[in-house]
Amino acid sequence: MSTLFQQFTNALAMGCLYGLVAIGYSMVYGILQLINFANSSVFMFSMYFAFYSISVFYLPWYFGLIVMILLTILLGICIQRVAYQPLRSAPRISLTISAIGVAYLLENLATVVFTAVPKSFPEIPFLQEMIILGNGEWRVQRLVIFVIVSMVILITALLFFLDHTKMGIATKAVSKDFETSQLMGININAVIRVTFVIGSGLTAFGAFMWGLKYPQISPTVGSMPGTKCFIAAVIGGIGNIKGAVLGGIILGLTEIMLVYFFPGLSGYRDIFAFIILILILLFKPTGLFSTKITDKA
Amino acid sequence: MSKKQRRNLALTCTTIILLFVFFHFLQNGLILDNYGIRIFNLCLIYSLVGLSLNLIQGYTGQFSLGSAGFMAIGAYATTLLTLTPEVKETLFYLDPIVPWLANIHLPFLAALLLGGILTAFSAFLIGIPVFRLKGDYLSVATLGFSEIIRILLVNLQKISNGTTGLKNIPDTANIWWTGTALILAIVFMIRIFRSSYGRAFKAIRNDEFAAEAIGISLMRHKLLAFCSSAFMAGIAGGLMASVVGAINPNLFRQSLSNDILLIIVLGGTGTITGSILGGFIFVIAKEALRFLDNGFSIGAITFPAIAGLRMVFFSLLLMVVVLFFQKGLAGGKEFSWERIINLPKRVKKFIQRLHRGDANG
Amino acid sequence: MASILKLQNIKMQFGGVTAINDLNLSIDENQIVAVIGPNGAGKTTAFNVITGIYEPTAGHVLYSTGYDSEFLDITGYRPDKIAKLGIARTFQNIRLFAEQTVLDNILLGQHVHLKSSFLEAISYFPHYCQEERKMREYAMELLDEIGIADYANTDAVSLPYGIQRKLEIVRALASHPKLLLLDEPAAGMNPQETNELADFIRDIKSKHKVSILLIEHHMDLIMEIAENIYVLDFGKLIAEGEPEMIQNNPAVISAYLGVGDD
Repeated sequence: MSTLFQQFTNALAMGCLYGLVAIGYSMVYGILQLINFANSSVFMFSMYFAFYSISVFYLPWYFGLIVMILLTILLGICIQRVAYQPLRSAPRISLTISAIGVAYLLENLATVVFTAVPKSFPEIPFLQEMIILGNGEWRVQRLVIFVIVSMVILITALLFFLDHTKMGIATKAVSKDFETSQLMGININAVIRVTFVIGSGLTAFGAFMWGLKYPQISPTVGSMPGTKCFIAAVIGGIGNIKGAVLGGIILGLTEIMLVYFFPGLSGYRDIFAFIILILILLFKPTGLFSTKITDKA
Repeated sequence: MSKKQRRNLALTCTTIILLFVFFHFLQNGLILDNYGIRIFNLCLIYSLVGLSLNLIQGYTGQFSLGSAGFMAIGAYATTLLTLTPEVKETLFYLDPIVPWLANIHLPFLAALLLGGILTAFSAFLIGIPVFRLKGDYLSVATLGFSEIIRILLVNLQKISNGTTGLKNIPDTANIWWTGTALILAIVFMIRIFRSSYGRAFKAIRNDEFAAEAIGISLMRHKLLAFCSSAFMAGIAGGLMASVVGAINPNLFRQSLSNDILLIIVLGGTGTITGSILGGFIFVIAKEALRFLDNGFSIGAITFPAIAGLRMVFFSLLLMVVVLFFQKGLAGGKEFSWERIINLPKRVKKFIQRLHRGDANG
Repeated sequence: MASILKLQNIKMQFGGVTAINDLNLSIDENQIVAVIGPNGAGKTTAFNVITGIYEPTAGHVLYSTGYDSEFLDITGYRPDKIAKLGIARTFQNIRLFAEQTVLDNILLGQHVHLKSSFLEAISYFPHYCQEERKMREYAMELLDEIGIADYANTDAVSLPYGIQRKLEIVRALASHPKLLLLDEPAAGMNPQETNELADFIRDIKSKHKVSILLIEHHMDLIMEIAENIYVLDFGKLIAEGEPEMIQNNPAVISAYLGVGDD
């Protein structure tokens, strides 16, 4: 019973992590109709940022986290400015190629700069400590609680931003109808920048959690979580923020609980996400929680 | 048939015959050494995969990231079907191969074709759910599919021999095989493009909404293009396994798909000429730039060995082409005899223009 | 006259917005019918329902099978299937295949009836070659009809605007439709061009034995060629009848003619 509880909380935390990163994919797709393939490399770089700020420059972990988030946001904005903005009027396929090109470039750059030899993510004993609940049978890592609590806070803040600030409302409008919003005088560039700030920031946060859980950093480390988080966004209905979070949680729970109940499947864990993707595309292509049809004529 | 058409046909036939003579000399080691022959073979194979990706992406406008996965299926299927039972027994020393594969031993051509068909079938299975939707889902689905194939190859020890992979693959595929495959693929592509189906593929790329409104079934046509494309990639995979002699799951990582993407973008999407140019340039440059990874010196300055530097070069190249030269090297134009014959005239005109520019400036 | 297409109680809602409410409409064989109404009245939505781009929230689209008075319920069919059954359309903003030649555009219009399979086509099967030749002959015939046979091999996008409109209509005709839907064919045309277009539409109707349903804002054009007119306002049918009746209908005048934008 206690291991089940532990697995369940772990799964929930993993789901929250997926959900946080999925929001970025979902928002970018909502606005640019682009699968931001570069984000998986941003995820990877973000882990290196954490490594350098905490393990090399000995910053306390919370400062390290902040530095890492800021650097990641900077990277995200640069990518947008250099690789996406010039192609805004080009065929959409060029934009996707550009995104893959950036992912590829960052991955290769990381191999040169950080070498292909894996580095280990800094240890943060405070977060990795087990907390004992009740009579000692219920144990949970502090990290798990940290993830779940910060997710709730971040989502609430994000939803407040989108519903109650001028910029947030503009962002929602652009995601609904790009051209009309442009005609209405919304500053599209500013909206896109904000989207990338949010997306990259959340990606950094996700990468931090991921590193604590799977402490190996290598140039290809981002591709699996990156793709999975995009799938989480599709599960929840692309363009839908609450959907992205729920999609992430569904994905996290499925992955960890399936392996818990069927240990023989552990080698195939990374396949589940893609099977879910295919099932969603087959039976509920607009995602589980979507409300609008995005079939633009 | 007009005079011009007859002339072009004659030129094409002559070129093909000359090519075969060239292949003959190459194969007998009269032009290049063994290393050179291997590189030439890889050029032909990468051009073939380039064509395959071009069919679905450049021509039909559907973004696929599955080249590596398709090549993997082709490579493993062809190899497993051609290896002799004895070789299989020694290879699978940790965990014996499944009985239904242990004793199959087919001629190379049959194995290659079966590998291609199996690859096409797997494309069919992905295509059905994905093409029900408009949008970019194919890219994620094929990316995932590639990854699934790799994970399966690592885990299905009894079929794929896990991470060790397959070795001692007979080097049946020489330049005759790869060259003929590429020529057939080019003919296949030209015929597709000139047929009513090719027009429909192109219409889907241009405006799938209008294409559907004039009665083109998107599902059927996308599936046709996708399965043909996968078939070619599968064949290329089978040939590659035979040329390189050993395969393992690591060979078919996402970066392989990215390389193929670079090939078609570099050459120019949507043209046969572009894919072939791209394939040759990529493979040769990758070999030529090996010094970047191994360290080099210019005069007194010595650059240390930095592993992976040439891949940085290639990914930068991809970005530069996407951002600034979207038509690629072929400039969005197809090779034609007219262009070759008129080349001296065009060069002359260009020089005249230069002169006039000089006189005025 | 027998009907070729009937809309029965069509209702189309997007989220909470009702674009079409309880629309009934019928087109007879070899008849030109016009749908008019102010912007946002639901005209193009009606087209999209007929051609299968939207599935209506309620109601049925019935299409004559050609036998007696039997009808096929084509509600919710895919657009390509509907095109195959013989309903062709044009778009408000011309949607030619810009990067393909004029000839290719017409050939694409005929692709829907191609019988040869993919493998037959790429291996130049005699049967396919014959089909392709016939398609080309017919395509040239059609291009001749609008007088641009000489431009067969130029890119469609390089043609002047008015010709592009005609080419799009001819592309639709290439599939031998029984019903042709024209979405604002005279948009952006001057009075002289509009006159020519009226003649052209009448011509194709008699030559190709096709029924025509059109959306239009140019009242002169409508009054000249339409045999029957439906007037929509806010997704509801407010009048139906022959041109003279519509012209004198007070409800129409107040809703549309009085405040018309043309």
